Amino acid sequence: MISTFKSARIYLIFALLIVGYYAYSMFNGIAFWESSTVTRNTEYNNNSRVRGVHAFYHK
Amino acid sequence: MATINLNAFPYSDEVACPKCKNIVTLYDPEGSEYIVCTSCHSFIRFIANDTLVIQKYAPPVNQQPVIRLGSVGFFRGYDFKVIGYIEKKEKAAGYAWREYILYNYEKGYANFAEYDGHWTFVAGKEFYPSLEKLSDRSWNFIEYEENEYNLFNKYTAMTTALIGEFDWDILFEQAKTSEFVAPPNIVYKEQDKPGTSTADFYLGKYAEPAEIAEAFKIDINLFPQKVGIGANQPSVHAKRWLAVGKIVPVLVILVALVGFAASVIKPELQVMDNDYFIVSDSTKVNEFKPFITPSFELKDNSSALDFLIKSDIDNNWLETTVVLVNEKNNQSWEVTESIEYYHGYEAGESWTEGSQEANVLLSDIPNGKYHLNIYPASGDTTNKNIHINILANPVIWRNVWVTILLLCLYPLYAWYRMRNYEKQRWMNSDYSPYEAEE
Repeated sequence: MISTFKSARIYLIFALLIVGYYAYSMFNGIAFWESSTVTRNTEYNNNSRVRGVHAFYHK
Repeated sequence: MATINLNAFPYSDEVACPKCKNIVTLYDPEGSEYIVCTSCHSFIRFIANDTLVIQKYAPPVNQQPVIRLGSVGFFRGYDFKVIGYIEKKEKAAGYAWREYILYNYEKGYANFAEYDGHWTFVAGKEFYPSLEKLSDRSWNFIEYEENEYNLFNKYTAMTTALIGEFDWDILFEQAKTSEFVAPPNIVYKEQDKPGTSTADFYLGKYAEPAEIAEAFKIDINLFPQKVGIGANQPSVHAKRWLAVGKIVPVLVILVALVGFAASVIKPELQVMDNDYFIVSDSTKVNEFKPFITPSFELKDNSSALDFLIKSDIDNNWLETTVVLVNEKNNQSWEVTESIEYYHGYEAGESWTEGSQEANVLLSDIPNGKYHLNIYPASGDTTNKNIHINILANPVIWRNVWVTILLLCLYPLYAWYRMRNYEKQRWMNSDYSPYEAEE
Protein backbone atom coordinates (compact mmCIF):
# COMPACT_ATOMS: atom_id res chain seq x y z
CA MET A 1 0.00 0.00 0.00
CA ILE A 2 2.84 2.37 0.82
CA SER A 3 4.45 1.67 -2.55
CA THR A 4 1.08 2.43 -4.19
CA PHE A 5 0.98 5.86 -2.52
CA LYS A 6 4.62 6.44 -3.40
CA SER A 7 4.09 5.69 -7.09
CA ALA A 8 1.01 7.89 -7.25
CA ARG A 9 1.94 10.63 -4.80
CA ILE A 10 1.81 13.52 -7.30
CA TYR A 11 -1.53 12.28 -8.64
CA LEU A 12 -2.77 11.87 -5.09
CA ILE A 13 -1.88 15.47 -4.21
CA PHE A 14 -3.78 16.80 -7.25
CA ALA A 15 -6.66 14.38 -6.65
CA LEU A 16 -7.05 15.51 -3.05
CA LEU A 17 -6.98 19.16 -4.15
CA ILE A 18 -9.74 18.41 -6.67
CA VAL A 19 -11.80 16.49 -4.11
CA GLY A 20 -11.17 19.27 -1.57
CA TYR A 21 -12.50 21.96 -3.92
CA TYR A 22 -15.38 19.68 -4.88
CA ALA A 23 -16.31 19.27 -1.19
CA TYR A 24 -16.05 23.05 -0.65
CA SER A 25 -18.31 23.70 -3.64
CA MET A 26 -20.86 21.08 -2.62
CA PHE A 27 -21.16 22.43 0.92
CA ASN A 28 -21.41 26.03 -0.30
CA GLY A 29 -23.79 25.62 -3.21
CA ILE A 30 -21.18 26.55 -5.80
CA ALA A 31 -21.71 25.02 -9.22
CA PHE A 32 -18.52 24.60 -11.29
CA TRP A 33 -20.43 26.60 -13.85
CA GLU A 34 -23.92 28.01 -13.74
CA SER A 35 -26.40 28.16 -16.60
CA SER A 36 -25.15 30.26 -19.48
CA THR A 37 -28.36 32.28 -19.50
CA VAL A 38 -27.54 33.81 -16.10
CA THR A 39 -26.24 37.38 -15.97
CA ARG A 40 -25.16 38.76 -12.63
CA ASN A 41 -25.84 42.25 -11.26
CA THR A 42 -27.58 43.57 -14.34
CA GLU A 43 -28.89 46.51 -12.36
CA TYR A 44 -25.37 47.83 -11.86
CA ASN A 45 -23.26 46.80 -14.79
CA ASN A 46 -25.82 47.83 -17.38
CA ASN A 47 -25.42 44.66 -19.42
CA SER A 48 -29.05 43.68 -19.44
CA ARG A 49 -29.99 41.93 -22.65
CA VAL A 50 -33.72 42.25 -22.30
CA ARG A 51 -36.00 45.11 -22.61
CA GLY A 52 -37.92 46.44 -19.73
CA VAL A 53 -35.69 45.43 -16.86
CA HIS A 54 -34.42 48.88 -16.05
CA ALA A 55 -37.86 50.35 -16.21
CA PHE A 56 -38.93 48.06 -13.42
CA TYR A 57 -38.73 49.07 -9.80
CA HIS A 58 -37.60 46.76 -7.11
CA LYS A 59 -39.62 46.34 -3.97
CA MET B 1 28.70 -29.63 -10.78
CA ALA B 2 29.68 -26.30 -9.30
CA THR B 3 31.36 -26.53 -5.92
CA ILE B 4 28.80 -25.31 -3.38
CA ASN B 5 28.14 -25.07 0.36
CA LEU B 6 31.42 -23.25 0.93
CA ASN B 7 32.00 -20.16 3.04
CA ALA B 8 34.12 -18.39 0.45
CA PHE B 9 35.29 -18.73 -3.12
CA PRO B 10 37.74 -21.60 -3.59
CA TYR B 11 41.33 -20.83 -4.51
CA SER B 12 41.90 -20.42 -8.22
CA ASP B 13 44.08 -22.88 -10.05
CA GLU B 14 46.00 -22.76 -13.28
CA VAL B 15 46.22 -25.38 -15.97
CA ALA B 16 48.17 -25.53 -19.19
CA CYS B 17 46.33 -26.05 -22.44
CA PRO B 18 47.32 -29.45 -23.83
CA LYS B 19 47.47 -27.98 -27.32
CA CYS B 20 49.21 -24.59 -27.04
CA LYS B 21 50.50 -24.81 -23.45
CA ASN B 22 48.85 -21.47 -22.66
CA ILE B 23 48.14 -21.09 -18.93
CA VAL B 24 44.41 -20.85 -18.20
CA THR B 25 43.00 -19.80 -14.83
CA LEU B 26 40.33 -22.00 -13.22
CA TYR B 27 38.12 -20.22 -10.70
CA ASP B 28 36.23 -23.33 -9.56
CA PRO B 29 38.83 -26.06 -10.01
CA GLU B 30 36.76 -28.76 -8.32
CA GLY B 31 33.48 -27.99 -9.99
CA SER B 32 34.35 -27.08 -13.56
CA GLU B 33 34.46 -29.88 -16.11
CA TYR B 34 35.15 -27.89 -19.27
CA ILE B 35 37.40 -24.93 -19.95
CA VAL B 36 38.18 -22.84 -23.01
CA CYS B 37 41.78 -21.97 -23.82
CA THR B 38 42.03 -18.22 -24.21
CA SER B 39 44.84 -18.61 -26.73
CA CYS B 40 43.97 -21.44 -29.12
CA HIS B 41 40.22 -21.61 -28.29
CA SER B 42 40.30 -25.31 -27.60
CA PHE B 43 37.28 -26.57 -25.70
CA ILE B 44 39.00 -28.77 -23.14
CA ARG B 45 37.43 -31.39 -20.90
CA PHE B 46 38.77 -32.70 -17.60
CA ILE B 47 38.49 -36.48 -17.45
CA ALA B 48 39.69 -38.94 -14.80
CA ASN B 49 42.71 -37.84 -12.73
CA ASP B 50 42.34 -34.29 -13.98
CA THR B 51 43.60 -35.27 -17.39
CA LEU B 52 42.87 -32.62 -20.01
CA VAL B 53 41.36 -33.68 -23.32
CA ILE B 54 40.62 -31.38 -26.20
CA GLN B 55 36.99 -31.91 -27.17
CA LYS B 56 36.59 -29.48 -30.02
CA TYR B 57 37.24 -25.96 -31.18
CA ALA B 58 35.40 -23.16 -29.39
CA PRO B 59 34.80 -20.23 -31.73
CA PRO B 60 36.25 -16.96 -30.40
CA VAL B 61 33.84 -14.38 -29.07
CA ASN B 62 32.64 -11.52 -31.26
CA GLN B 63 32.34 -9.00 -28.42
CA GLN B 64 34.59 -8.76 -25.42
CA PRO B 65 32.61 -9.30 -22.22
CA VAL B 66 31.63 -6.16 -20.32
CA ILE B 67 32.29 -7.98 -17.05
CA ARG B 68 35.71 -9.58 -17.18
CA LEU B 69 36.20 -13.21 -16.16
CA GLY B 70 37.30 -13.44 -12.54
CA SER B 71 35.41 -10.26 -11.55
CA VAL B 72 33.80 -10.50 -8.15
CA GLY B 73 30.67 -8.65 -7.11
CA PHE B 74 27.96 -8.67 -4.47
CA PHE B 75 24.65 -8.74 -6.30
CA ARG B 76 21.17 -9.08 -4.78
CA GLY B 77 22.40 -10.72 -1.62
CA TYR B 78 24.98 -13.07 -3.10
CA ASP B 79 28.70 -13.00 -3.81
CA PHE B 80 29.36 -13.87 -7.41
CA LYS B 81 32.44 -14.47 -9.49
CA VAL B 82 32.18 -14.33 -13.27
CA ILE B 83 33.64 -17.59 -14.57
CA GLY B 84 32.24 -17.88 -18.08
CA TYR B 85 30.97 -15.85 -21.00
CA ILE B 86 28.83 -17.31 -23.79
CA GLU B 87 27.49 -15.85 -27.00
CA LYS B 88 24.28 -17.51 -28.11
CA LYS B 89 21.76 -17.18 -30.90
CA GLU B 90 18.42 -18.55 -31.90
CA LYS B 91 18.89 -21.53 -34.17
CA ALA B 92 16.19 -20.47 -36.65
CA ALA B 93 16.78 -16.73 -36.50
CA GLY B 94 19.56 -14.22 -36.22
CA TYR B 95 18.73 -13.00 -32.70
CA ALA B 96 21.90 -13.17 -30.62
CA TRP B 97 22.49 -12.50 -26.94
CA ARG B 98 25.21 -12.91 -24.37
CA GLU B 99 25.34 -14.75 -21.07
CA TYR B 100 27.74 -14.32 -18.16
CA ILE B 101 28.11 -17.39 -15.93
CA LEU B 102 28.12 -16.33 -12.30
CA TYR B 103 29.46 -18.65 -9.64
CA ASN B 104 28.36 -18.43 -6.02
CA TYR B 105 30.14 -20.63 -3.46
CA GLU B 106 26.91 -21.39 -1.54
CA LYS B 107 24.30 -21.95 -4.26
CA GLY B 108 26.16 -22.61 -7.48
CA TYR B 109 25.54 -21.08 -10.89
CA ALA B 110 23.43 -18.16 -11.99
CA ASN B 111 23.91 -15.91 -14.98
CA PHE B 112 23.36 -12.51 -16.51
CA ALA B 113 21.66 -12.58 -19.91
CA GLU B 114 22.15 -9.44 -22.01
CA TYR B 115 20.13 -8.72 -25.16
CA ASP B 116 20.12 -5.32 -26.87
CA GLY B 117 21.47 -3.71 -23.72
CA HIS B 118 18.77 -5.22 -21.48
CA TRP B 119 20.14 -7.31 -18.62
CA THR B 120 18.41 -10.11 -16.76
CA PHE B 121 19.68 -11.93 -13.70
CA VAL B 122 18.78 -15.59 -14.22
CA ALA B 123 18.96 -18.37 -11.65
CA GLY B 124 17.46 -21.79 -11.08
CA LYS B 125 15.86 -23.65 -8.21
CA GLU B 126 19.02 -23.41 -6.10
CA PHE B 127 18.29 -19.68 -5.75
CA TYR B 128 14.49 -19.84 -6.14
CA PRO B 129 13.33 -23.13 -4.55
CA SER B 130 9.69 -22.56 -5.53
CA LEU B 131 10.68 -23.12 -9.18
CA GLU B 132 10.68 -26.81 -8.22
CA LYS B 133 6.87 -26.69 -8.10
CA LEU B 134 6.58 -25.75 -11.76
CA SER B 135 5.89 -28.68 -14.03
CA ASP B 136 6.27 -29.19 -17.75
CA ARG B 137 3.03 -28.54 -19.60
CA SER B 138 2.36 -26.98 -22.97
CA TRP B 139 0.78 -23.88 -21.58
CA ASN B 140 0.66 -20.47 -23.15
CA PHE B 141 1.10 -19.12 -19.69
CA ILE B 142 2.34 -20.35 -16.36
CA GLU B 143 1.47 -19.38 -12.83
CA TYR B 144 4.37 -18.76 -10.53
CA GLU B 145 4.12 -17.23 -7.07
CA GLU B 146 0.65 -15.78 -7.76
CA ASN B 147 1.77 -14.10 -10.98
CA GLU B 148 0.68 -15.05 -14.44
CA TYR B 149 3.57 -15.34 -16.89
CA ASN B 150 2.57 -15.14 -20.56
CA LEU B 151 4.36 -16.94 -23.35
CA PHE B 152 6.61 -14.44 -25.11
CA ASN B 153 8.97 -16.47 -27.25
CA LYS B 154 9.93 -20.02 -28.23
CA TYR B 155 13.27 -20.87 -29.78
CA THR B 156 16.15 -23.29 -29.81
CA ALA B 157 19.26 -21.72 -28.34
CA MET B 158 22.70 -22.58 -29.66
CA THR B 159 26.12 -21.48 -28.52
CA THR B 160 28.16 -19.56 -31.07
CA ALA B 161 31.18 -18.59 -28.99
CA LEU B 162 32.41 -18.85 -25.43
CA ILE B 163 35.25 -18.34 -22.98
CA GLY B 164 35.72 -19.44 -19.39
CA GLU B 165 34.85 -22.62 -17.53
CA PHE B 166 31.70 -24.72 -17.35
CA ASP B 167 30.44 -27.88 -15.72
CA TRP B 168 28.54 -29.11 -18.77
CA ASP B 169 29.16 -29.45 -22.49
CA ILE B 170 27.61 -26.21 -23.52
CA LEU B 171 28.85 -26.44 -27.12
CA PHE B 172 26.78 -29.56 -27.58
CA GLU B 173 23.68 -28.19 -25.93
CA GLN B 174 20.74 -26.99 -28.02
CA ALA B 175 17.98 -26.45 -25.52
CA LYS B 176 14.43 -25.76 -26.67
CA THR B 177 13.52 -22.68 -24.71
CA SER B 178 10.20 -21.02 -23.94
CA GLU B 179 10.09 -17.60 -22.34
CA PHE B 180 7.18 -16.50 -20.18
CA VAL B 181 7.10 -12.90 -19.05
CA ALA B 182 5.59 -10.99 -16.17
CA PRO B 183 7.79 -7.88 -16.06
CA PRO B 184 10.19 -7.42 -14.39
CA ASN B 185 10.36 -11.21 -14.20
CA ILE B 186 10.75 -13.84 -16.85
CA VAL B 187 10.57 -17.63 -16.55
CA TYR B 188 12.62 -19.75 -18.92
CA LYS B 189 11.57 -23.31 -19.62
CA GLU B 190 14.36 -25.36 -21.15
CA GLN B 191 13.76 -28.80 -22.66
CA ASP B 192 15.76 -31.46 -24.44
CA LYS B 193 18.95 -30.72 -22.59
CA PRO B 194 21.46 -33.56 -22.84
CA GLY B 195 20.89 -36.06 -20.08
CA THR B 196 17.48 -34.72 -19.06
CA SER B 197 14.01 -35.64 -20.23
CA THR B 198 12.06 -33.16 -18.15
CA ALA B 199 11.97 -29.40 -18.43
CA ASP B 200 14.11 -27.14 -16.30
CA PHE B 201 12.77 -23.81 -15.14
CA TYR B 202 14.79 -20.68 -14.45
CA LEU B 203 13.63 -17.36 -13.11
CA GLY B 204 15.01 -14.15 -14.58
CA LYS B 205 14.73 -10.72 -13.01
CA TYR B 206 15.40 -7.55 -14.93
CA ALA B 207 18.57 -5.79 -13.84
CA GLU B 208 19.61 -2.22 -14.57
CA PRO B 209 23.15 -1.83 -15.91
CA ALA B 210 23.87 0.69 -13.14
CA GLU B 211 23.10 -1.95 -10.51
CA ILE B 212 25.44 -4.46 -12.16
CA ALA B 213 28.12 -1.82 -12.71
CA GLU B 214 28.01 -0.90 -9.05
CA ALA B 215 28.07 -4.52 -7.89
CA PHE B 216 31.06 -5.48 -10.05
CA LYS B 217 32.80 -2.08 -9.94
CA ILE B 218 32.65 -1.51 -13.69
CA ASP B 219 32.47 1.75 -15.61
CA ILE B 220 28.81 2.16 -16.59
CA ASN B 221 29.88 3.60 -19.95
CA LEU B 222 31.19 0.19 -20.98
CA PHE B 223 27.68 -1.24 -20.98
CA PRO B 224 25.91 -1.43 -24.35
CA GLN B 225 23.16 1.07 -25.04
CA LYS B 226 19.61 -0.17 -24.53
CA VAL B 227 17.69 -0.72 -27.75
CA GLY B 228 13.89 -0.95 -27.76
CA ILE B 229 11.99 -2.45 -24.87
CA GLY B 230 13.24 -5.60 -23.18
CA ALA B 231 10.95 -8.64 -22.89
CA ASN B 232 10.83 -8.25 -19.12
CA GLN B 233 11.76 -4.59 -18.79
CA PRO B 234 9.59 -3.09 -16.07
CA SER B 235 7.23 -0.39 -17.27
CA VAL B 236 7.06 2.79 -15.25
CA HIS B 237 3.70 3.43 -16.93
CA ALA B 238 2.36 0.08 -15.70
CA LYS B 239 3.59 0.89 -12.21
CA ARG B 240 1.81 4.25 -12.30
CA TRP B 241 -1.35 2.75 -13.79
CA LEU B 242 -1.47 -0.01 -11.18
CA ALA B 243 -1.00 2.55 -8.42
CA VAL B 244 -3.58 5.09 -9.60
CA GLY B 245 -5.93 2.29 -10.67
CA LYS B 246 -6.12 1.23 -7.02
CA ILE B 247 -6.67 4.78 -5.77
CA VAL B 248 -9.34 5.94 -8.25
CA PRO B 249 -12.17 3.71 -6.92
CA VAL B 250 -11.45 4.99 -3.40
CA LEU B 251 -11.58 8.59 -4.64
CA VAL B 252 -14.86 7.98 -6.51
CA ILE B 253 -16.39 6.56 -3.33
CA LEU B 254 -15.06 9.62 -1.46
CA VAL B 255 -16.74 11.91 -4.02
CA ALA B 256 -20.04 10.05 -3.56
CA LEU B 257 -19.73 10.26 0.25
CA VAL B 258 -19.02 14.01 0.13
CA GLY B 259 -22.04 14.52 -2.13
CA PHE B 260 -24.20 12.48 0.22
CA ALA B 261 -22.91 14.36 3.29
CA ALA B 262 -23.60 17.70 1.59
CA SER B 263 -27.16 16.64 0.79
CA VAL B 264 -27.70 15.59 4.42
CA ILE B 265 -26.15 18.67 6.00
CA LYS B 266 -27.75 21.07 3.49
CA PRO B 267 -30.92 19.30 2.38
CA GLU B 268 -32.86 20.35 -0.68
CA LEU B 269 -35.43 23.03 0.12
CA GLN B 270 -38.28 24.18 -2.08
CA VAL B 271 -38.49 27.97 -1.71
CA MET B 272 -41.04 28.62 -4.43
CA ASP B 273 -43.53 26.45 -6.30
CA ASN B 274 -46.26 28.73 -7.66
CA ASP B 275 -48.45 29.27 -10.70
CA TYR B 276 -48.66 32.91 -11.77
CA PHE B 277 -51.47 34.42 -13.76
CA ILE B 278 -50.04 36.52 -16.56
CA VAL B 279 -51.84 39.36 -18.33
CA SER B 280 -51.13 40.41 -21.89
CA ASP B 281 -49.90 43.97 -22.38
CA SER B 282 -52.16 45.25 -25.14
CA THR B 283 -49.83 48.15 -25.91
CA LYS B 284 -46.94 45.89 -26.96
CA VAL B 285 -46.66 42.99 -29.37
CA ASN B 286 -46.30 39.56 -27.71
CA GLU B 287 -45.47 41.09 -24.32
CA PHE B 288 -47.17 40.51 -20.99
CA LYS B 289 -47.30 42.77 -17.98
CA PRO B 290 -44.26 42.29 -15.75
CA PHE B 291 -44.90 41.25 -12.16
CA ILE B 292 -43.16 40.67 -8.87
CA THR B 293 -43.35 37.44 -6.89
CA PRO B 294 -43.73 37.19 -3.12
CA SER B 295 -40.47 37.20 -1.16
CA PHE B 296 -38.63 34.13 0.02
CA GLU B 297 -35.62 33.72 2.26
CA LEU B 298 -32.35 31.85 1.82
CA LYS B 299 -30.82 31.06 5.21
CA ASP B 300 -27.62 29.24 4.23
CA ASN B 301 -24.52 31.37 3.76
CA SER B 302 -24.32 30.35 0.14
CA SER B 303 -26.73 28.28 -1.92
CA ALA B 304 -27.31 27.02 -5.39
CA LEU B 305 -30.78 27.55 -6.83
CA ASP B 306 -32.40 25.35 -9.42
CA PHE B 307 -35.14 27.21 -11.34
CA LEU B 308 -37.82 25.32 -13.20
CA ILE B 309 -39.92 27.53 -15.50
CA LYS B 310 -43.05 25.91 -16.99
CA SER B 311 -45.91 27.11 -19.13
CA ASP B 312 -48.75 25.31 -20.90
CA ILE B 313 -47.84 26.59 -24.34
CA ASP B 314 -49.09 24.60 -27.28
CA ASN B 315 -47.51 24.92 -30.73
CA ASN B 316 -46.07 28.21 -29.59
CA TRP B 317 -43.28 29.88 -27.67
CA LEU B 318 -42.76 31.73 -24.42
CA GLU B 319 -39.76 33.77 -23.43
CA THR B 320 -39.35 35.16 -19.98
CA THR B 321 -36.76 37.18 -18.20
CA VAL B 322 -36.54 36.34 -14.51
CA VAL B 323 -34.51 38.62 -12.26
CA LEU B 324 -33.62 37.37 -8.83
CA VAL B 325 -33.26 40.40 -6.59
CA ASN B 326 -31.69 40.59 -3.15
CA GLU B 327 -34.00 42.88 -1.22
CA LYS B 328 -31.27 44.09 1.09
CA ASN B 329 -28.71 45.32 -1.43
CA ASN B 330 -30.51 44.97 -4.76
CA GLN B 331 -27.86 42.58 -6.05
CA SER B 332 -29.48 40.77 -8.95
CA TRP B 333 -29.20 37.70 -11.17
CA GLU B 334 -30.95 37.84 -14.49
CA VAL B 335 -32.02 34.85 -16.52
CA THR B 336 -33.73 34.83 -19.90
CA GLU B 337 -35.18 31.51 -20.96
CA SER B 338 -37.17 30.50 -24.00
CA ILE B 339 -39.65 27.68 -24.05
CA GLU B 340 -40.89 26.31 -27.32
CA TYR B 341 -43.23 23.42 -27.76
CA TYR B 342 -44.55 22.23 -31.11
CA HIS B 343 -46.25 19.03 -32.14
CA GLY B 344 -48.16 17.66 -35.06
CA TYR B 345 -49.07 14.73 -37.24
CA GLU B 346 -47.29 14.29 -40.54
CA ALA B 347 -46.98 11.42 -43.03
CA GLY B 348 -48.77 9.06 -40.68
CA GLU B 349 -46.51 9.85 -37.74
CA SER B 350 -46.95 12.21 -34.82
CA TRP B 351 -44.04 14.42 -33.83
CA THR B 352 -43.11 16.79 -31.04
CA GLU B 353 -40.38 19.37 -30.76
CA GLY B 354 -39.14 21.32 -27.77
CA SER B 355 -40.55 21.29 -24.27
CA GLN B 356 -42.98 23.17 -22.03
CA GLU B 357 -40.34 23.74 -19.37
CA ALA B 358 -36.76 24.96 -18.88
CA ASN B 359 -34.21 24.53 -16.10
CA VAL B 360 -31.69 27.11 -14.91
CA LEU B 361 -29.03 26.65 -12.26
CA LEU B 362 -27.78 29.61 -10.25
CA SER B 363 -24.68 29.24 -8.14
CA ASP B 364 -23.28 30.77 -4.96
CA ILE B 365 -26.30 32.84 -3.97
CA PRO B 366 -25.71 34.55 -0.59
CA ASN B 367 -28.25 34.34 2.22
CA GLY B 368 -30.96 36.97 2.43
CA LYS B 369 -34.46 37.86 1.38
CA TYR B 370 -35.21 37.65 -2.33
CA HIS B 371 -38.00 38.13 -4.81
CA LEU B 372 -38.30 37.66 -8.56
CA ASN B 373 -39.10 40.24 -11.20
CA ILE B 374 -40.68 38.44 -14.14
CA TYR B 375 -41.03 39.78 -17.68
CA PRO B 376 -42.95 37.29 -19.84
CA ALA B 377 -43.42 37.41 -23.61
CA SER B 378 -45.16 34.82 -25.74
CA GLY B 379 -46.40 34.15 -29.25
CA ASP B 380 -49.66 33.06 -27.66
CA THR B 381 -51.26 36.11 -26.01
CA THR B 382 -54.09 33.94 -24.73
CA ASN B 383 -51.60 32.14 -22.50
CA LYS B 384 -52.61 32.78 -18.90
CA ASN B 385 -50.14 30.87 -16.85
CA ILE B 386 -46.50 30.59 -15.92
CA HIS B 387 -45.22 28.23 -13.24
CA ILE B 388 -42.02 28.86 -11.32
CA ASN B 389 -40.37 26.34 -9.05
CA ILE B 390 -37.18 27.14 -7.14
CA LEU B 391 -35.21 24.47 -5.33
CA ALA B 392 -32.47 25.60 -2.97
CA ASN B 393 -29.44 23.35 -2.32
CA PRO B 394 -30.08 20.94 -5.18
CA VAL B 395 -27.61 18.13 -5.78
CA ILE B 396 -25.22 19.72 -8.28
CA TRP B 397 -24.65 16.70 -10.48
CA ARG B 398 -22.42 18.60 -12.88
CA ASN B 399 -19.93 19.04 -10.02
CA VAL B 400 -20.02 15.30 -9.28
CA TRP B 401 -19.48 14.25 -12.89
CA VAL B 402 -16.81 16.84 -13.59
CA THR B 403 -14.90 15.86 -10.44
CA ILE B 404 -15.00 12.17 -11.39
CA LEU B 405 -13.93 13.05 -14.92
CA LEU B 406 -11.00 15.12 -13.64
CA LEU B 407 -9.96 12.32 -11.28
CA CYS B 408 -10.04 9.84 -14.17
CA LEU B 409 -8.02 11.94 -16.65
CA TYR B 410 -4.57 11.00 -15.37
CA PRO B 411 -5.46 7.31 -14.83
CA LEU B 412 -6.74 7.18 -18.41
CA TYR B 413 -3.51 8.77 -19.62
CA ALA B 414 -1.44 6.32 -17.52
CA TRP B 415 -3.44 3.40 -18.92
CA TYR B 416 -2.94 4.67 -22.48
CA ARG B 417 0.84 5.04 -21.97
CA MET B 418 1.02 1.63 -20.30
CA ARG B 419 -0.86 0.00 -23.13
CA ASN B 420 1.33 1.63 -25.78
CA TYR B 421 4.42 0.51 -23.91
CA GLU B 422 3.14 -3.06 -23.69
CA LYS B 423 2.22 -3.05 -27.38
CA GLN B 424 5.79 -2.04 -28.21
CA ARG B 425 7.17 -4.73 -25.92
CA TRP B 426 5.02 -7.40 -27.54
CA MET B 427 5.98 -6.30 -31.06
CA ASN B 428 9.07 -8.48 -30.51
CA SER B 429 6.93 -11.53 -29.81
CA ASP B 430 5.08 -14.00 -32.02
CA TYR B 431 2.52 -14.41 -29.25
CA SER B 432 1.40 -10.81 -28.82
CA PRO B 433 -2.06 -10.42 -27.26
CA TYR B 434 -2.34 -7.07 -29.07
CA GLU B 435 -2.11 -8.42 -32.62
CA ALA B 436 -5.70 -9.59 -32.72
CA GLU B 437 -6.88 -6.05 -31.91
CA GLU B 438 -5.14 -4.39 -34.85
